[in-house]
Parts: sequence; structure tokens; C-alpha cells
Amino acid sequence: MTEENSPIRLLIVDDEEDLATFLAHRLRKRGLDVTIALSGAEAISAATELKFHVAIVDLKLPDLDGITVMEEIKSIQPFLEILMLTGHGSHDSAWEAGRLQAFRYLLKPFAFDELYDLILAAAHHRCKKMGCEFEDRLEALMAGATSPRDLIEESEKLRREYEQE
Amino acid sequence: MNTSRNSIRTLLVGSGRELSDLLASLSTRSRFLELDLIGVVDLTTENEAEVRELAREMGILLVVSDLSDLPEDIHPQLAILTSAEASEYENLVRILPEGVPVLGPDTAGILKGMIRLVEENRALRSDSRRLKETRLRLNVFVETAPLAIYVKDTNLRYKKMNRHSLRLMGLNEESVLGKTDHALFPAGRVRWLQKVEQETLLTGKTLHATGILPVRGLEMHVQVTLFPIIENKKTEGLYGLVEDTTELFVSEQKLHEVDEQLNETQKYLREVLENSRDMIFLTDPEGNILSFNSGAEKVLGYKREDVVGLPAHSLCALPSSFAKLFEKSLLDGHATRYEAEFMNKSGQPVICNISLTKIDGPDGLPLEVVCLCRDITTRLRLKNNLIRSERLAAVGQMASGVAHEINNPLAVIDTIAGLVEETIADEGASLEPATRDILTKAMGRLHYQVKRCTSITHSLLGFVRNTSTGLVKIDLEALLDECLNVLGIEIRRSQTEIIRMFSTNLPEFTSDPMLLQQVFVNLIKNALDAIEEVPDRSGVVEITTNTDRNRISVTIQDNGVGIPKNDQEKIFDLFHTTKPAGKGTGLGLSIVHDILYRLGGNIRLISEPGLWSRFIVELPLEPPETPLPDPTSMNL
Repeated sequence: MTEENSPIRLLIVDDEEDLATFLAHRLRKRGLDVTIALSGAEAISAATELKFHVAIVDLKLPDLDGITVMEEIKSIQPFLEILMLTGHGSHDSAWEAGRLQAFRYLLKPFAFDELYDLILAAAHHRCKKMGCEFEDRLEALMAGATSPRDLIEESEKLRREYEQE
Repeated sequence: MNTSRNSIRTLLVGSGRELSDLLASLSTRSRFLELDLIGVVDLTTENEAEVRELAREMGILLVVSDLSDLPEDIHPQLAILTSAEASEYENLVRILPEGVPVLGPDTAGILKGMIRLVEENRALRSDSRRLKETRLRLNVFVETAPLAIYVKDTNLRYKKMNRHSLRLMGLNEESVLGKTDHALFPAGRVRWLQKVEQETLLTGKTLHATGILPVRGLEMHVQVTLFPIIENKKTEGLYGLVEDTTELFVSEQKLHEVDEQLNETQKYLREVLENSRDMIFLTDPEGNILSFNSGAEKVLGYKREDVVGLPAHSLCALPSSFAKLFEKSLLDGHATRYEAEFMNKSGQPVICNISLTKIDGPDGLPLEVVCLCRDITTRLRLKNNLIRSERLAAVGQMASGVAHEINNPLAVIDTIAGLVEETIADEGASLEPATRDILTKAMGRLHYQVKRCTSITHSLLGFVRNTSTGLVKIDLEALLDECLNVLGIEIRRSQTEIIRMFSTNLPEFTSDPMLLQQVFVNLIKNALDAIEEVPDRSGVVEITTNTDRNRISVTIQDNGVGIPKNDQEKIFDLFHTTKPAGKGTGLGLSIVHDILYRLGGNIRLISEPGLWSRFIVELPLEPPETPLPDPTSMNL
């Protein structure tokens, strides 16, 4: 299982270390290339160094608030899609602004499969915007009842094609 | 004292100053009047010394102070009474031999005596001796009566004016005799009297007249009785009896004024009482309703005629409690209670601030009790709602904070459970099948329990997550149908009959459709849950819409398990649930209440435990301009 070969590179930004760690572990098992940032600062420096397709950002972070982090990493990587995570569903203006920037938002605790589907959808969305050639493959991945093994095989195929591009 | 044989044996009865005045007056005239004064009865002996002195001078030997002290053999032919007491007159008449006239000073006595004497005078014309006697008596009467009496001839010239009238008019005899009224009174002022006098002369009848005499520059109200003097079938003149009724007139006038003022005051009071919005009724000391104002009619819905005569406590939810308060008002004069419960005509409780005041009658005994009651039901409900909302706000704020904090660990637990589950599925081949099964099942339960927690935390956060989609005109029927749609599966599964009773003439109203939908889904869901708890009953949920002036009401009634009386008050409280353990979160109705509060509406519950529940939602036509603060909003 090689994260390097995953077609989807994901950044998880959440200060809840247990959540970030185990979420990353499960997503990696499904073939995603996952990087963890436990603070806003870590998230920004990761975005400067590495290219991501999708980022999951918790709205509440110890240093910066989630909205600022979203804005910062979006300015570094404009095509990055963001999934917003929140433990709280309040509707203040900041939340509203974040919701507009984000691809989608999820309330904690979420269903893992729902999150996974959303990551795929976000990646697909990004792909479509950029005219990605693997769109069909990604769609198949999204549609298919994806067992981790299929997923890995599929993603390796995608990866190869991507590199040939 | 020289007395002729023909003199009339006369008894003087009287008291005080009047008696001594009469004696003094008779001492110079009794001979002229041919009176033989045989005795004096001094009833009060107030100025006994003077009376006795006068009597002694006049040669009257018999002076007593009680009628019963009179010797039986004195045989009076005439009695003159100065006392104005009617009872004295009666006593005197009783004690004297029959036929002895009594000349009394009070009007009734004088008139009786006068009429009798005038009639005797006419009847006994043939009997010259007795005629003379009667005339003498008449003369005596005219002279001694404490009443103004005058005699006029047919030309209405004064032939006589007795001492009382001279005193009354402030005149002396010489200036009056032979004169007419023209010479005595300002022109035209006594025409009313002359007219009646002429009529008396013409008709020969006894006539009465009332009018004003100008006396010494003042206006004297008088009542005059006129007797014709008929001699040999020819009218020779008339007697006039003048009664000064000024005092009577003035007091009558005053009485009239006071009466009018009293009427005005009473009218005013009646209007105040009658038109007051407060419930005011009067009861007798037994507590039976005597009157019932229009405020009371409005508050309780009864008509006045429905309740007058009924005991007031029959209008109360707790009759004995009212009776106790009533007793206290009779004892202390006043009694109040801040919250007393009445029942209106349709059986709904009406909470009143009640004040009872006893009113005593002139005899000092309780006459009436005034019951003043102010309907504070609405105010109390608002107050309770406010208290509840504030409590909800505090609890809600804390709860949503806690919920937020719990969501993070829940996410971790759920993620790890999923990881374990996946690992068992992928790599658990080496495990014993039984172990593998139980672990898989355990992870499933872990997911389930996380979900339970999530439903609580998400509902809690629901206070704030209920997105306000903005205010629009509401199509209530469509909105309720949409709610029924959302619950379609549950409704079909429970085989509940839904009865829609939607009013067709609701006014247009504005509200937030998303929030309203949440309210009604919650309430209908509750109705279904309540029905589910009575498995052998075929469920019916009745949804009624209606309008009352400027409010819209939606009533949702189910024939489910009902809500115990103890729970009815707390049903809208946060975390209060009547559902079986593990079923309800105790959040739904709090959220409903909260949403309605924000929309300017309210919700009420009526329930018969075991039989039915009815939730009544009321909404304004327009929500409050500045939305009420969200009691649970908090910063992220």
C-alpha cells in the first residue's frame, strides 16, 4: 500500500490528534495519500511544501481559526477543495463565510463512509474544474462499491496514468 | 279670677316655654274668650316654677305633671295642647270623656280640631247656646294655636290675624285689620293665594294651596288651608291656616340635591363597576352572587342571568378555598389572594388576583361582599414562559457547550470503532469464528451507541442549527402537508389515521417555513409516539387550523397515552421526557418551544392522561420585528 501512488492527496487539519491519526490510518488503508496538520500553522507550512487535492479542516483550531486556515491554504493552492469539519453547527457570519469557501461541511461525529464519499466527490470536482483526464476513473471509483483492494489497484492504475501524463 | 257661668271648662296641657307662653297669653284674654281654666298639665316641668307662678296668679289651682294625675271629676269641655307630639294628642284624646275637643298645635291636630269646630258651628246653628260655645272654642283655637291663622271677609280684608301669624309676619294687629294683601305685600306676589281664597268664597269648599309669601324681605314657603265661614247659607268670609314649610321646602330641596348627587355618584360608580375590564361581582353575606359586571361576563363567559343567585364558590376550581377566603373577608372586613383559580364556562381555568371586601349595612351587620378579581392568566403564562425560557437559555447554553465538546471524542470513538471493524473484516481470519462474531457485533453496538449520543448532541445543537431561511408568506396547508409527507413512513407503519381540518379562511401571515416545519414535524412525531404506546388503540391524529383575530392557531390532537398531570408543566423543559428510556432525548418540545418563542408564538398543552393530548400552537400574523434573542446562541 503505497501512499505515494494514491491519486488523491489529502491534508487533515485537526488538533484532535486521536481523530487525525486514526482517520488518516483508515483513509490510507483506502489508498489515499494523507498528511496530518495538528494546527493552523502546520497546515499552512504543509500546503507550502506539498500539493494537495483535498483538505479536511476543523473549524476550531488552537492557533488560527479554521476560516483563516482555509483562506491561507486556498491562496497557496487555489484548486484545492476543502471539506469543513465542525463539532458545532452555529450560524454566525464566519461559519457562513467558511461554508461558502468549502466544498462541503460535515458535523462531528460523522459517518466514516460519508466522509470518504465526500473526499472522492471533492477530488472529482477538482478534477472536473482542471479538465483532468482521470475523471472517468474517479467516477468509477466513486460509483463502485469500493473494497480497499479494488481501490488500491484502481488508484495505482490512475497513478501510473497520471505520471505518464 | 272672674269666670262667667257660660265659660268653657278648659284644660291646658303642654310643656316648656310653649306652655308658659300660652298661659301668659291667656292670662290677659281668657275672660274675653270666656274660658274657665280648670287645670294645667305640665308634662315636662322644664320651667315648672314659672308655670306654677303664672297659674297661681291666674287662680288655677290644679297643676299636675302627668295626665293620669288628673282627678276624675273635673269634667273639662275643651282641652288645649301645646305639645307637638302626636302621641300626646292621642293620649289626651283617650283620657278625656268622649266629645271633648282637643286643640292641638301640630298640623294634624289643629286641622282635626278646626274641621270639627267649623262643622259643629254649622251643624249647631239652631242651638244658640252650644253655637256660642263652639264659636268660643273656635276663637280660643284661633288665638292659641301655634299656627298662623287669619280671618278675612268676602272682600278679602283681614278681620283677624292671630298672635302666631302676627309674629310670623312681623306685623301688629292695628296695621293689618281692615286691610287687603295689596297693602301688606308687594304687588302681585300673593296673587296665587288670592285666587284660591276667591275660589273658597265662591265654592264654599275647603281648599289647599302652596306658594311663597314675601315676609320681611325673605321668601317663605307656605302651605295654606282655607275654610269658608258660612252663616245662614251665606258665605261671610274665610279662615286661613298658614303653615311655614320653608324649612321643609329647603330640606326637601337639599334632599333633592343630595339625592341627585347620590344618583350621579351611584350612576358613576355603577358605570365604573359595569364597564371595568376586571371581574367584579357582589355577593350577599352567604356568598350568593347578587350582581355580575360585564368584565366578569367577559372573563368567565357566563351571562349575568346565568350566575345571579348562585354561590360564588361554584365558579371556582377549588370551592372550599374560596369559601375560606370569603369567611376571612367577613371576619376581617377584607381578604386577598394573589392567585385564585376560577373556571370559565368552557371549563378552562382562569387565574385571578382576587380581593374581597365586606360592606356593612346600617345595622352594622354584613350586607354585601364586593369581589374584585383581575384576570392574570395571560400575564402568568407569559411570566412562566419567560422564566422557562430563561432557564432554558441557561441550561441550553451549557448543554450546547457540553455537546460540542463531546462531539470531538465521539468522532474519535466512531473512527476507531470503524478501524477495528475493518481490521476484523480484513485480517481477522486467524480469530476464532465466535470471537470474530462477538467483536464484529461489539463494534456494531459501539457505532449504534455513538449514534445515540450523536442524536442527543445534534438535537442540543439544533437550537442554533435551525437555520432561519427568512420570513415569507406561509401557505400553512402546504406546509403541514409537507410535514405529513416527511413523516409518511412512520404514519403508514403505525396505521394512524390523520384527520386534516384546515380552515379555508386564514388570513395571510408571515413566518419562517423551515422553523415551522421543524415545529410541526416534532409535534406530529410526538403524537405518533404517544399513540404507539397504546398498542391496542387505533390511532387518530387530528390537525386543525384556525384563526382568532390576529393569531393563527394550529391544534394537533392525538388519542395516545396522554401526559400525566405532574409532567404537563415540565413537558417543555429541556431533557424532560415522558417517553420510555432510550426513546426520547427530552429535546424535541424544548426546541419547539424555543422556535415558537423566537417567532413570537406560543404553545400550550391540554391532556387527559391515558386518553389524549392536545398541543395548541399560536402564531402571530407577523413575527416580532427584532427577533427575540436566541437563548442558546454561543460563540464558536
